Amino acid sequence: MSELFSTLWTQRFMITAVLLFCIGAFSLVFNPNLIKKLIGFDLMDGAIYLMLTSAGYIRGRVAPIVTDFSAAPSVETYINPIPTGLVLTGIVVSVSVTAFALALVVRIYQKYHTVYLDVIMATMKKGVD
Amino acid sequence: MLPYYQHIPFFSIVLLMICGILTSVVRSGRVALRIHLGAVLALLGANLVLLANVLPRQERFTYALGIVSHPYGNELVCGPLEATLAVAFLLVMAMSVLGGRDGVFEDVEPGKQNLYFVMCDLIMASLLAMIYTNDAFTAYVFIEINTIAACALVMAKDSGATLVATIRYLMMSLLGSGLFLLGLTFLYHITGHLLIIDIHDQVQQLAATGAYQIPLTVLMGMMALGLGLKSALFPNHTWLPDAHGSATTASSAILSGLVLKGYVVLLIKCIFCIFGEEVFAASHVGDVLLVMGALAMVVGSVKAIQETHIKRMIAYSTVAQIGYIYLGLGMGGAAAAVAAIYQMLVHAFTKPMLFLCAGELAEASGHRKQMYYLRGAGHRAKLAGVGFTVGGLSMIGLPLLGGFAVKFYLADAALSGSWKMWVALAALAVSSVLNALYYLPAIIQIWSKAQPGENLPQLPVKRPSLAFVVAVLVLGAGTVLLGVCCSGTGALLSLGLSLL
Amino acid sequence: MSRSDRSGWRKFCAWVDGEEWCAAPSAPQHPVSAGREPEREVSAFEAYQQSRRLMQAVGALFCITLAVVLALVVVHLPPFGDPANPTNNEVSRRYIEQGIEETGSANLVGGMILSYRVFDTFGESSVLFLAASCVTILLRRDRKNTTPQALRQMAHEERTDRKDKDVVLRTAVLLLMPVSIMVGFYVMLFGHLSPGGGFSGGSILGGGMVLYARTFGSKSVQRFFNEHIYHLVKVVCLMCYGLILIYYVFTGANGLNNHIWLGIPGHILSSGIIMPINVLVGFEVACTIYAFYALFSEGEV
Repeated sequence: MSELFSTLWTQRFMITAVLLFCIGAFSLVFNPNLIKKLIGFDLMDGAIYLMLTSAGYIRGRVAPIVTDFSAAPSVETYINPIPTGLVLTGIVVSVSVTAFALALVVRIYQKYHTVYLDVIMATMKKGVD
Repeated sequence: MLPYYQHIPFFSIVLLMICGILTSVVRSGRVALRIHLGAVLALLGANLVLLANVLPRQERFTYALGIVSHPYGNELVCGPLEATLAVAFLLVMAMSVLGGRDGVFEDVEPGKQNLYFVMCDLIMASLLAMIYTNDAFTAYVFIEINTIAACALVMAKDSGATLVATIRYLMMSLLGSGLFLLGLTFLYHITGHLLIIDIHDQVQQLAATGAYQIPLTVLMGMMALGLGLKSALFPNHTWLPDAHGSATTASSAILSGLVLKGYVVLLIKCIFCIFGEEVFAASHVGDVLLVMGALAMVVGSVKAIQETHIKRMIAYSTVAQIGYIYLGLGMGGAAAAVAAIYQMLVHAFTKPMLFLCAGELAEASGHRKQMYYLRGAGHRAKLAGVGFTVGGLSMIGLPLLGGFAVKFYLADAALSGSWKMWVALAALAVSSVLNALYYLPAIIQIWSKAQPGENLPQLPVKRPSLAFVVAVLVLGAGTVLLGVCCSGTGALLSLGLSLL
Repeated sequence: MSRSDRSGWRKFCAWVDGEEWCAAPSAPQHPVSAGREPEREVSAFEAYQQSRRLMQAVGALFCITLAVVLALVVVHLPPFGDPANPTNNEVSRRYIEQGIEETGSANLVGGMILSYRVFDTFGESSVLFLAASCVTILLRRDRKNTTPQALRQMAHEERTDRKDKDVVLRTAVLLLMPVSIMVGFYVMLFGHLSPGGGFSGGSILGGGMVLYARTFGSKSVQRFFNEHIYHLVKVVCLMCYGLILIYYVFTGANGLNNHIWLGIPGHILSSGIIMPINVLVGFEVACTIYAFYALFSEGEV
């Protein structure tokens, strides 16, 4: 039992990320409110970035930005730079997608006067376009 | 210096992206269309040269993107299979845009038509990148480009229905790419590589030692599920009929014919290049894909029978046809995978032709898309009627057409299996009958004359534009050729697959 | 909904959700769009509420299953912060130990994404470009998405904005603007030496422009930044980036000497292609961020 708890404690960032991911996915799929769906998407992506960042961290090492140029940088000093770079790329992607989706929601709101997807679907079925 | 043809994949992708960027400042939609068609046709030629070079040598080369060599940077990879897919996709893209040209100029606001072709450029660039990439994270970035551009194609018509269809499509796609990225994160975490070849080596080692068995299985499921969501695999197909049925004709053709296939190409890369066939088979994710594919074949066809809107009917037929691809991938083994890729090619040619012809038939019937109003539409637009007939018969599986070759290959591959054989054969038989049950009535409807009692308006004969004639003839020729020369194409595909 | 449902817990849930406690998800009354509201029937509404509750239950089940499966995966992943993890392999070693030599950038992350993985990063910039194009398709004013009512409302707001001369706000923004522009340029230009880079610097610059437009009205921004300049900057930046990428990849793939001067690590003029790309991306991002704001609020850049 104590072993399980110590594993859970070691992987606390990952566990948090997984929970956030599930909350985000839940909101994205099952919340009828379009804005909350988007918040869910951002939570989901944020969770993945947390997971990537924690995958790159190494205990006792610092961010990979060299300040001392007298000697060649040693791998013992810095954390893994790759996941950080992936997160940088990923953030831009999710910002872009969010902007696009919000613009879409604005247009849908102008047309149907609501942001609830199920209300919109019901309206469309009744033919009140 | 590298041989000249090895530069073609990289320049194809970047050239299309640069065309897209330049097109965004062009004012006229017609100029944007010309830039797009020029670029795609030029790249079609270039990729044919590439195919002609790699095929006789039977080589699959990698192309490092940057100063350093393998495993330190982004890479592209190209072999006969990749080059074949690229050629087919470029041809279908050019023909879809050409054939749906008039619809685009009619449906999209004049000031925004150039942006429509920006989306077409970037979709093609991302498809090529997904075909050629050798880096899993590059694949993710281009998946997102593909998603946004595909959503933009749906919403370009800018009516209430397309906006709602777009947001539903977008939400499903975002969940799909989120799952894919999460799977990729896990994969990076346990292998430490992003280049597909290196991940493959690491995964083989892990599978041999039995380490990280649970994460490996789950992440395979997640990546397959994510890509399945994005390519409308049953039961996540509900967004597809709205999106493909309500968009403008060219968009429907591109989305059904190409965009869905891009994700399938990535899934094939995942199965054969990242995980390796044995590891993937051991995880039983393939069995789930098989069952889902078989269900999709039946459910999609049943839904299509109930549909009275011609474009939605064709869209449901896409759900069923995607089921064929997943059936092949789930069966396992090289023969079944060849059948799946064959289906991808045949569907890429046939479905855009069906959508283009349906759009033309509807236009000849006063812009009405209900089957009821399409009676006799074949006489008003002869070529569109013929095209629709050929496409429908190919979907049913008439010999000498592409659809028959696929069914033959699938059945042939299934014969070696165990329980999978029965599932696959039953699904094939049922779905062929069901396909006939909705394509044949539709074909009869468009060729029959109006009854005296019926109150249908008299409509004039519509003269097809030259662009439409060219597009339908090329796509139709593709469908027929894939049916006639099936052994040659099959050999080409299996050669390409063996090099993966 | 009966009154007995108004228990504390559900009120609390509604509060956490940020929703008013009301039975209907009634459409908020917007002054511009109060025109027509779809009618709703009571019976249809009840059915709708039931379906929504069912949806929530299915969703919760799905979510919990997913959470359990993923937690199981996570427990089996390599431990957090361990130097012996599979991710710390020869690739990251090379990026750290030879990164400065090969890219000239002291910021190893920035050096990595703009040289070893520059193709990805070009894709990422295209995603931003693509999103800006999509927002333009959706929100730039045309006859489909604008009503005369909305135009009148906007003209009215513009007039009140001009009349309303809030001295504190204007002074504060006038003081903040130069700082935000300076910080933006600093983050952009020093992206290869310190944390930062094109995207973050560009966001700060764009944020400064949004602040200015918010206070002085977008008409005053159009004096120095209009649609032509927006298109010009965006296309020129992305094209230059693309050309640098082509040159870099073409020479790299052929194994040619690319004659890119890497400079002395740690100096401001160093790191080869990384600083130019940071500046180009920064300008593109600044334009795009401001364009997002302008399109959302005014429907034009």
